[in-house]
Amino acid sequence: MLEMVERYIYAVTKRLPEKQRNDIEKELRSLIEDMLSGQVKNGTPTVRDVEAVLLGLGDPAQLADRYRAKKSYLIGPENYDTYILVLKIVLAAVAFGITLAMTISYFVEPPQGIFELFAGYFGALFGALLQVFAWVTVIFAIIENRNLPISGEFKNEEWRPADLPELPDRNLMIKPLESIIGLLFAVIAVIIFNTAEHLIGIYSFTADETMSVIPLFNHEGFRSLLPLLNIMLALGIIKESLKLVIRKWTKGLAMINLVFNVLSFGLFVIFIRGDGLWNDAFFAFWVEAGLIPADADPLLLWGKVITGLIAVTALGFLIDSAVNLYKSYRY
Amino acid sequence: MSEADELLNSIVMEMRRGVVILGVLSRLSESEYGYSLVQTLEKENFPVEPGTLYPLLRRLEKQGLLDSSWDTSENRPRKYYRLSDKGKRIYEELIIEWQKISGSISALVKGEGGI
Repeated sequence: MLEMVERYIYAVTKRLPEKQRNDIEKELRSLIEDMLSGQVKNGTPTVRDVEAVLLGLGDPAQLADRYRAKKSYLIGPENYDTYILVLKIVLAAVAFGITLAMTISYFVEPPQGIFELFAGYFGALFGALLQVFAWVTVIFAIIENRNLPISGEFKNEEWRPADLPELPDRNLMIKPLESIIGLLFAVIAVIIFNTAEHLIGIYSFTADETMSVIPLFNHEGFRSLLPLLNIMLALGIIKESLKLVIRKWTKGLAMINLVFNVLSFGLFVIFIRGDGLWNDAFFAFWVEAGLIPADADPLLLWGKVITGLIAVTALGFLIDSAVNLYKSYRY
Repeated sequence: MSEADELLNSIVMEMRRGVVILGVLSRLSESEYGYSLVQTLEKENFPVEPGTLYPLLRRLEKQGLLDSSWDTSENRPRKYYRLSDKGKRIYEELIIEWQKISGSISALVKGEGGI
């Protein structure tokens, strides 16, 4: 009979923070005993009496909520929409990245049989998605737990009508899809450059049907220059994320865009002109294949290609920076 | 219960929720423990459910309106609550606010040839 009371008290206090638990437990027990004595004038209370008293107190979960004066969430309603959006983007990017990586590795090292192929693919996919899901959730749970502000609005400052967001101007709106595709490519690029850079190159089949790759990059040279590439991709990811959050070309965003573009371009130039980046065998292949006349200097030709590449990239960054700056000032 | 009754019920609950604190504070110039307060309020025709009252007492204590002390002299230890100095001040302000609200609402529902 009194065991039911203890079970009720436990059901309430287990939902409460450690600090308050003991005191509430003591108080609740004495209150329930008081209520029982109020219910039963003489003699010992029956099961029915106990049930009546506990029903009067109501659902232990609700009682605990009232003691806490706040509902507890892993991820609360304020952050839930952002959580779902981030989760969708990240999961899609990782699924795409893994599929791409597995497709490439299938051609490079074909697995034993169809079963190994699918087992390997789904195993890797499932594991990666689970990890990503867990990490995103943990990060959001910490944000919830610490009560960190997640959107750009400053919640504790007083609201003023002037703070109302402006009506979106069609010309200034950033399509989320654009940024999502941008993010997707950046993530894929990070994965490829960091794990499978040696697979970028010329694929050729020899007479006995085995495939060989002549990598474009010299492995050691590439590795030492890789940090530049990673910083550049990180800048791109930050930029696209900002665009995704702000959704509109503001002056500030256009300035950030300009600064990031200049930095990225600088990093790109240093990277592409870096010492020992290219694989000598790659050039030898062209000469052997007779695509470059033997008397021409492949490195000189390659230099021209790189100069062209830098020019195209510069033009791309320039147009992107200028158009968005112009937009943000003009409208 | 019909839909209209349910709606009425929830509006009445909301109305009461606003004045429960005032009702509770009014009985705490002398020390009371949770269950005795439940009974007192019931006797005064202002019943408050124990599941609402007990957490409320703790909240008011945390906000500094009530002082509490454990009485362990009897065979059942009890936590007693009473108004603190801050609680007394706020209680007096609340009475004035309540009289204002009660006065204006009474005038409103009486006036204009209402029901």
